[in-house]
Amino acid sequence: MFLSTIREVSLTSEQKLKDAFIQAIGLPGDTDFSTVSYGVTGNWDSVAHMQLIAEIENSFDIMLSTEQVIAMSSFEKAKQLIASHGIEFGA
Amino acid sequence: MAAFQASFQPLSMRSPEWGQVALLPWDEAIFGFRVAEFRLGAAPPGRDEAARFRAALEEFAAGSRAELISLRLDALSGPPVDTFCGAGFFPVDLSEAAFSARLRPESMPRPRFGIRTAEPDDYPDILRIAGNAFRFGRYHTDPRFPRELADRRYVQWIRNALSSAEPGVSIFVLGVRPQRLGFFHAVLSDGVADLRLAAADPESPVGLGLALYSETLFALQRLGARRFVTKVSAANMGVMNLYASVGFRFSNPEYILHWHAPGAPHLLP
Repeated sequence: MFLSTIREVSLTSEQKLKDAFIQAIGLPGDTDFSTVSYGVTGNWDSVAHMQLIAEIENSFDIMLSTEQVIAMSSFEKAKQLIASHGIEFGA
Repeated sequence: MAAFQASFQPLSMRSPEWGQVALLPWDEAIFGFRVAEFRLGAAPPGRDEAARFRAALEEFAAGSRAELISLRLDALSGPPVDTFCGAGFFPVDLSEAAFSARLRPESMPRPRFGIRTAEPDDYPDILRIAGNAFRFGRYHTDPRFPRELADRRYVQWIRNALSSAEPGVSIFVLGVRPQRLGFFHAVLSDGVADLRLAAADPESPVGLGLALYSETLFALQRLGARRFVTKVSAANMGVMNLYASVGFRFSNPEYILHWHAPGAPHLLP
């Protein structure tokens, strides 16, 4: 029961983050998110980046620092930075 | 300053109605070789005059030692581009004017990095960014123009701006000291902010252009700007999307064409 709850929380966080990327960058739903990174993924320009930051802050109810805004250069990096705010992701 | 004034003369004495040409001393001072600009006259050369037009360009280049001649064409109502391609011109850029009469704060990210006026200890980083950030503009998109010289032109641009005594000049820096995430050169006059040159640090892991532009626009508004104007290369999708996202509109598209002198020694093969 406990493990199942953890898994649900983790999946929810992962999906919320994917949704934020889909909304901000206009990615298709079947994207391989492990490869999504700035400079590689089309449409991820400075406008999309600030939209992504706003989506993440709203979705996770957190406030990112300027250093975190600058460091958020990939989907995997975004997970790490959000996790530093106490948000759980799957292993 | 007299040395830095362009002196336009008819390209062809036989056909002065074609237009006028002048050397651009400020660009020559940066590049170390001569470049010129041709401005259309009342009766620009037609397609059937391409050979004679080309000969006039070559004669001017030989006499003045100009290696490159530029030409701007109104993309909406000017003569067709191919008229000039027949004489050896080719398009290198499409420039557009952009303007906004009112900022839309609801469509702009909240200021979070901080914007400040450049101080002398910022200058080295501003010059570094200016020398590395640009990919667009007619010299950068001319495949035969040396990239290092095109970069040098922007470095000189911002160096001049940093030492300018022109009223209303502002050079902003994005970021709280000692951060220097980008710079913005603007001139404010009678409530109109002319946005002249901006670049985010290309070494940043992500694009901060929107943050740089939006925080600068807010700063200029606080200084009294009621209208914002600029010019932008239509190929620069990042900046086009950025201006569109904060409510700018576009007008006055202009083709920019270059012509290279035969055997120009400083241009790439």
